[in-house]
Amino acid sequence: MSIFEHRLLFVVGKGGVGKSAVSAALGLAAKRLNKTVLLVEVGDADSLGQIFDQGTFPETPGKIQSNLWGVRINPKSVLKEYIKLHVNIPFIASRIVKSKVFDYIIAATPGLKETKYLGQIWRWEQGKTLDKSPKFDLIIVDAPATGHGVSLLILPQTLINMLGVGPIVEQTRVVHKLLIDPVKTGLTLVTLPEELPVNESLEFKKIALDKIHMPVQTTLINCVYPKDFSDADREAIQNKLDEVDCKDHLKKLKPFFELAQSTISRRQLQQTYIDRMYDNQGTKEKIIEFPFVFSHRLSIRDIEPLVNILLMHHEK
Amino acid sequence: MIDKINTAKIVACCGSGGVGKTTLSATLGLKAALSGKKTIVLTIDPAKRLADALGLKSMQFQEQKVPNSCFQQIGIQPKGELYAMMLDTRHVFDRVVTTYSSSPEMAKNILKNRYYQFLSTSLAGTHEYMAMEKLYELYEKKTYDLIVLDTPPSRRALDFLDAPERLNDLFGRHFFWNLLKPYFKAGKLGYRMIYFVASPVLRSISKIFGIQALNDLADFFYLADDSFIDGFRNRSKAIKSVLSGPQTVFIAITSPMRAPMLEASFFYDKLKENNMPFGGFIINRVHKELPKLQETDRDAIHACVSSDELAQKITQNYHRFERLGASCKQLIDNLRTVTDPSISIHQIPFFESDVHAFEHLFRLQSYLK
Repeated sequence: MSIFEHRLLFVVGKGGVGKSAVSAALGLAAKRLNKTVLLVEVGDADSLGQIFDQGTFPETPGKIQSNLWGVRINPKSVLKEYIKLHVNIPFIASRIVKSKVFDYIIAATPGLKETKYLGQIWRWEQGKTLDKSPKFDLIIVDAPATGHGVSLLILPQTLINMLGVGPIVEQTRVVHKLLIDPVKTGLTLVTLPEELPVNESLEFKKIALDKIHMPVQTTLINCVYPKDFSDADREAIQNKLDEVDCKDHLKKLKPFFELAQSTISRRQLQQTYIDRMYDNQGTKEKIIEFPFVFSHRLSIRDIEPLVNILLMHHEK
Repeated sequence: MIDKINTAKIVACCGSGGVGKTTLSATLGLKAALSGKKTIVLTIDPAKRLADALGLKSMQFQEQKVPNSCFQQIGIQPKGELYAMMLDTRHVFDRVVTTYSSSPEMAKNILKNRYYQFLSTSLAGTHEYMAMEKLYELYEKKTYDLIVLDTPPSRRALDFLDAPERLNDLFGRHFFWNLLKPYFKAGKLGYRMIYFVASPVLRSISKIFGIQALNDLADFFYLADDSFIDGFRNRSKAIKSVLSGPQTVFIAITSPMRAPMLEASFFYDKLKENNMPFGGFIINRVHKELPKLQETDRDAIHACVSSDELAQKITQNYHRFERLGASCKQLIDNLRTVTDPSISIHQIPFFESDVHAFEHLFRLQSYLK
């Protein structure tokens, strides 16, 4: 199935691999397929907002472009909302929310915050929110870096085991069911063709399959250098470099040939890591390569090529 | 930057994930060792290849000396010594429990407690706290001239600074402790239920969160007596004071990309706000600015290369890196405009290969002057 047929996409990966750029590209591509999209940032992050020149996303879904909405989940306000929904007596509810015990329990109960993030996402999926946001066709979550991403996804199970019974457990079960539904929810892994990100990605894929029961469905290898030069080109460039060294009047061309040679060798090195990703490809896993963006500023314009690649894969 | 590091006892390397913090921490450690200091690099989960490069066994969690053979390989005789240590959160946390428990019995029970097991591995801030704990222990021992700390990866570089505070909050909340103390000390489950039912707020909380969770929590605090909690709390305070003192210098490590650069300047602002010593920025993997490709160059390339197609590929390739170099420069210039002119900004160029050998670290340190 196409990545855009899911209702919910979790974008995970090591820090610095470009999760936010990929999330933004996914959102823009889905929007072009006439879907109403919600981009979700978790916690204190604001890199998605930066790509859209929005600063930080608001705490309730805000419109960024037509059919494209953005939100930042703040665990504490989500929890407050939750308490108010579940405690019938308003006086007691507001006392709980204001009490220090409440702060304490949030800080001390592992997984509570994360489960609340997920619960909020579930409510958007169900269209069951009190805010004025539309019904979203696709919700894209720019998840925290892999280590934390694993804990975000594994926590519903942990929390169910730890709390045992009660309304939180009941809600968590519902959320958990959504997460492990491979049709509704797609796990999207972003990586770079480099040693550390590839190692971490392969580890994550194993954990996702065995422990979280959410196999990675799409892997996006980001920042792949273009393969412009053929083997014959490589030889020709090497010959030119030898020639340039002996001829004085050609010396000034050396940097251009050297840069071409360096691109070739970088691409070769990347290929070994790309191959490792394909060697470990899961049975239903789709691998998509994203080209290197030759600008570190990363604006919407810069990620346009990524959007096109996603749309191309969708049509296949 | 280096003069600030020379007078410091602790160098804390901070930055968002994926910028090369571990590698550069090792590089700073190497630099200090070369200049004659007995230096240790504290790191969390280093790349296996980096551990190999330093001649270390990757699964050992004690102080290890970087063997002389590493230095011999590159034909250098260091004036000082270089050590490295890898941290394992659970391992350090368990030791803290053993240290502050008033009896071996108590330590054993805490280590077995279900809540403790969650706490030590999944609570936000535990990794950061444990890095601090180890740092403090080494600092107190005074066996090293310099400790380089590779802070845990986090999206917000500043997170780790608040970690001791956060855990301190957790244990230091007297009101909570006092509120629930009768409940904890009641011991038997029956008593606890009575105490809970008596308070409407607690009753609602226990309904929502489930009584099991509160019991685990209560058991943990029941096991951990006052001296344990106090020990932990005092330790957090001491760590915080060492980190904010003049013996510590903070270095912001970043890559020349928009998000980590903003993060680094945010970090700098925060340190300034809190009057904490800042050592400077290290910008890793910078693509240098390229001279503009001239018409005459283009013609010359076409004349030199027989195939027009190849000539075009070569100029296109050059243009791409021209753009990349320009974007790096712009980001670095932006950083300059928002920082004090006295702050040093070091740039480390992008290398074609991954840094995974000792000689690469040696090459990197030459860029830090």
